[in-house]
Formats: sequence, C-alpha cells, structure tokens
Amino acid sequence: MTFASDAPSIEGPDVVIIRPRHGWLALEVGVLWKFRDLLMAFGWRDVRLRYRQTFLGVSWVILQPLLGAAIFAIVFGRIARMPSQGIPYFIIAYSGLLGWTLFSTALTRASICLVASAELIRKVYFPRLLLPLGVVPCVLLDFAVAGVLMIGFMIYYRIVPGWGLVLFPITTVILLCMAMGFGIIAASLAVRYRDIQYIVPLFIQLMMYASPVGYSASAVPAAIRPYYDLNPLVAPIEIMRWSLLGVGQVDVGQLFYSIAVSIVALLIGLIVFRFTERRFADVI
Amino acid sequence: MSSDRIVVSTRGLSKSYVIEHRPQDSTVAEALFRLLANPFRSSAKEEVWSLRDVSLDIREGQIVGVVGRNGAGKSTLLKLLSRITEPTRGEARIAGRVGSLIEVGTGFQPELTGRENIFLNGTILGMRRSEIARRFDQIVDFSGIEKYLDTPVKRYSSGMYVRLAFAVAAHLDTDILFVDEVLSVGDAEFQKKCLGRLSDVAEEGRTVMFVGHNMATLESLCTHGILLDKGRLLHAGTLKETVAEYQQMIRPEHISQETVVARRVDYGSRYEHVRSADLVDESGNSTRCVTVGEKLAIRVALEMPLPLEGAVFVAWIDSSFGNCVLTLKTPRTGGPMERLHGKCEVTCVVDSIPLMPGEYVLNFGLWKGAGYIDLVDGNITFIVQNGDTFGDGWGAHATGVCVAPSRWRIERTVVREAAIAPT
Repeated sequence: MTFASDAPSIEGPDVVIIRPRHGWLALEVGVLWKFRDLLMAFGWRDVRLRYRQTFLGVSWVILQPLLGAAIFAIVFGRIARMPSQGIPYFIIAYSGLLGWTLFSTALTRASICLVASAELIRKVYFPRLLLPLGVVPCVLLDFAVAGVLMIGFMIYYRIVPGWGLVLFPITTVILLCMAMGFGIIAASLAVRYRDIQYIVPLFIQLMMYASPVGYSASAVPAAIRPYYDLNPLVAPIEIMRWSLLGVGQVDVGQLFYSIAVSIVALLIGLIVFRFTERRFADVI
Repeated sequence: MSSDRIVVSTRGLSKSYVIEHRPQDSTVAEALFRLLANPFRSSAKEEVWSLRDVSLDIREGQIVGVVGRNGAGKSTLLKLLSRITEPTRGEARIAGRVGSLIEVGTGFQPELTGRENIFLNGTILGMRRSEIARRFDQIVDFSGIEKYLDTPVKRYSSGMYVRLAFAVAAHLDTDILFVDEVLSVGDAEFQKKCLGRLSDVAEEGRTVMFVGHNMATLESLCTHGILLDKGRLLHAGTLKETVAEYQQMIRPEHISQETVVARRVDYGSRYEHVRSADLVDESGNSTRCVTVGEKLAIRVALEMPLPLEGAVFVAWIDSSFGNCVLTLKTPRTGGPMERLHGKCEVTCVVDSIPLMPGEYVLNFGLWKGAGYIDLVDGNITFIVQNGDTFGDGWGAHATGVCVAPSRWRIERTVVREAAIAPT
C-alpha cells in the first residue's frame, strides 16, 4: 500500500465511485433493485413484529377500525343523525375508516422510520429510501386484514358492489402515494427537527375530521363545500366508499385533483429526501 | 497473498462538518421563532475537517490496520469508504463487493428469534438471502447457540447476543471488508475465535481494512498500516513501520519526562533508596527515545542513609503489551554495588540496544537476599525507533521483539555425493 500519486486509480464497469453528490434527480433505481432483499427484510420484520403474537397482533389490527367505526356510528349516526341512505351507519363509518387507516398508518410509520432507525443509518450503508419503502408491506397487510373484514360485513348485510369496484384499487394507490409523499417529507425533516413527531399525529387527527371518514361528504353543507374539497383526501376516501357501497358520488375532477396532489407530494418527498439524505448519518 | 491489483483507491478524500456557533434549532418551533425574531441574521459557522486530502491505494489481499489517536479520522475514513456518510471533497473508488462492520449486531430486533435475526442482520450487512441460507449452518455452528435459535434474542445473555451477532458478521463473504473495533466484545475465548476467523479471512486473499486500538491485535492480523493524524494521512506502509511511526508521534504527549519515581509497596518495597531515575543519551541529556542497535543509558540516583552491602541492581524492560523482553543486572558479588553508602549515581549502559522498534517500559529495583528492598515499576516509558541496524539503510523490519548484533561467515564447501545420498 502506498501514498497514492494523483494518477486516476481504478477503472472498470463494477467499480463503485464514492464522491460528493450534487443534483437530486438521480434516484438510483438500480441500487434499490440490488437491495431488494433488504427491502423485503424490513417489510417482513415489521410484519413479524406486528403479527408476532398471533392472537393479540391480528385482533389489534381488527379491533382498531371496528372500535373506530363503532364510535363514529354512535357519534355521527345516533347523536348527530347524519344521513346513511338506508345502509347501517356502522358500515358507512367502517368503509371510510378503511381508506383512512391505510393513509394514516402509512403516514405515521413513514414519518418516524428514519429517526427510529438512527442506529442503522449511523452504522450501515444501504439506500436510505428503503426505510420508508419498507413500511409499505406491513401497512398493506393491515389493509388487507381490514378489507377481509369489510367483505364479511358486505356479505352479512347483503351489499353487492357495482362496476364502481374498479375504482377501489385506484383510490388505494392514491391514498398510499399521498401518505408516502407526506411521510417521506416528514421523515426527512424529523431527522433535524424532533418536534415533527408531535406535529404529524396532530395533523393526522385534524385531517380525520376534515375528511369524509365518519360521515359521507354529501352531508357537508354546500356553503363550505368548495373549501372542504380542497382537502385531497376527500375524493379517494369518498370514492373508496362509493366503490364498495354505492353511497355518495364520484366527482371526476376531484379524483384527478387528488391524483395530481399525490404525484406532486411523492415527487416533493423524493426531492426533499434526496436533498437531506446525504446528511442523515451526520445529524441523526 | 497480495497482488498488484488496486482494489481501494482514494484521491483527496475529505470530510468536513459544519459547526454552528449557536445551538442548532432542533425543533420546527425554535426554527420558526428564530426566523420571525431575526430573519436576516446568519450565524457564525465553522468548518471542521475530520478527514483531509487522503490519497491512498490498497491492493488486493492487503490487511491494512488504520492507526491513529482518537479523533484522527479513522472511523470517518471507514464510514466514507463504506458509504455510510458522503465525502465533502475528493473521491474513492472501490472494485469488488464491500462489506463493512462498524458494529456487530446492528439492526438486531430483540423481539425476533435468533433464527430470524440471522436473516435480518445478514441482509442488513449486505448478504443476499440465498447466501445466508447457504451459510446458515456455519453461522449457527460458529455462534454455538443452536439450542436457543428459536428464542427471541431479548432473552439472550449479552454474551450469547454478541456471539450470534459476530457469527453473522464473520460470514460476510465479500471481497473487501471494513472492520471497526468489533473485536472489543465478548469474552477472551470468543475474541480468540473471532481473531482466528479474521486471520482466515485474511488468508483467503481478501482485502481487509481494520481500525483498532489494540496494537497486539493489529500486529497479529495486519500486513500493512496507515497512520492518520488530525484527519491527514501521515504514513502508509507495512504495519511495523506504521506502528513505529505512530509510537514516535505519540511520544511527546504520551510519555512523561518524569524522573521522580513512585514505588511498589505491594511487592515489599521498604526503603526509598532510589531517588530518581532517567534515560540519558550520549551527552548525558534526558531522553525517551533510543535507536535500535545504539546506546541505551539508564541513570539512577540512590541515597543510602546507612551502608548497604550485597545488593543487586536489577532493571528489566517490558514491551507495551506487558511482557518482559530484556533483563539487566549487576553481579551478586564483586560488582560496583558491593557496598553503597550516602548519595550516589548508578549508570547502566547497554552498548547496543537489541530491541525492535516500539514502545517499552523500564522497571528496576534493588534486590537483597530474598526480595526487593526497593522496587520501582512502570515509571519510565520510552520509544525504540528504527535505525540503520544492519548498515544497509533498511532498518529493522523483521518480526519478533529482539535484534542481535551478529557476525556472518560464508565458507566455500565441497558437496560430496555421499553426503546427501540417503543412507
């Protein structure tokens, strides 16, 4: 080994070059693909941790939306007497919570993923984007479990979905993209600003009441509807319910607005992430 | 097994951290408040370089020890090469698959079982799932915890935990391995096992870069070394050279010029005969640095209020790892120590110091009858630096602790058939 001269050193196709990165457009999809096993390992770890104790784990996943729906059914259905178009109010609330829970758990878990893995970031190299991405499998599994329950309810109450069911996967993707976009932004900021982890739950709580989760958007007074519709969560949650129950209506313009917001959020998230990523190990 | 192929190469590799001279805003609330209160003020910032212009080439099969004081940039270098953090300037190129062990057991999940953690941790370290599956039995075997494979690791003792963690790490099968101090864990027996495993890795012809503070570990593992100080690369060469260079470097700070002695009462030291002790050079000036094969002089001031007869003066030199490597003694009878009284000065001169470059500790005492009557231990640390021992300009580079002056004679011999024929 020697003190090196200044002549360029090694060349070759498989040579890894480590140098300061500028620019934020290169997303290194190839590198992500190389680390696909780790992505699966992260996802699988979360799933194992959540479903470890089979009884408690699964029942928690089921109980959460059930209790939420029950409370909404009492508050909005019984006390406030919101319209339900002949369908049990519990189902109205549960179908809203289906989409909402997907969004809020994905956002919550993505927003803390970097801080929670500080030790890993300081000690091991891997594309950091794997951490927020690794949240997805577990969130989707929770969503699937809640979805199976929804099917059970629909069979019990003899609700047959129409052709609108094709919109269900689209709304799922929109909600997930939006959650990941906001989640990645929050996660990047949380590395530097520790109060992000208190702001996010607050934000989520406010958004829940500003979205048609426990009630149908048609119950919102027409006077405030234009402002209400600014919330990009309105369309996907409302349309997800519509696709299952036929309750409410589909506003195509609103749907495209939400799609646009989710794409922009995801892009901004990736850019912010890219921009702050290089300092994660130094400041976390 | 080192070849000429360069596998790790850095050019001007540098890393700086920006330190702001006010507390950083750690919450959004603080940041907003500051922005509102004082929108145009920018704070004084200072750039601190933890690594600066490091250019080096490491060839395939070299086992490189990284030496330097705390904060010299050793870990930063490792973190840059293992891509945990990004360089500020310069670049590094690496040819081959890289594995890095900054810590063992990173990413272990207490709730998951040993088996699950082997897969999780292995993947985090960069192994493919299929690779782990292939080496699974070896890993379990090495860790010695097969009985507890399906127990959550939170129920493991810390020893078992470390064993499992190291077992996974030890089977990281990459061309290039960066290792940071991971051996400082576990019990002695297991450490030995880990060292053995690392030497195996070395013998397989893989390239290893190893940050360590234990010189003994470095010396037993590494072939080459680099010396860092204050973020700069001071030396790159064989490990021996680098360690010697390092010991030179730490001398002024680390080695006291103290001449007043402290004694070991626990070994039966009853008299304070030795007043001061010193190492001196040719002209009688105090020194803590001598050269291989050159003169070493120990000067000790004694004070005997009563006459002392039949004492033996013993001096011995320990290596920095604590083993005695050299003993010096006055004769029991007929020597200069036969009868001592009042104040006197004893000088012991070794004409040619037979020690290899390194750090040593001088101890000495007065022996009488069956034990030491005054024992002084570990007060004087000194450096033996490399010199032109063999008169060829190369210095002492061989292994071992001693080097002896030697005479060589070559005679022409007639080889007869009968002498080499089998009987």
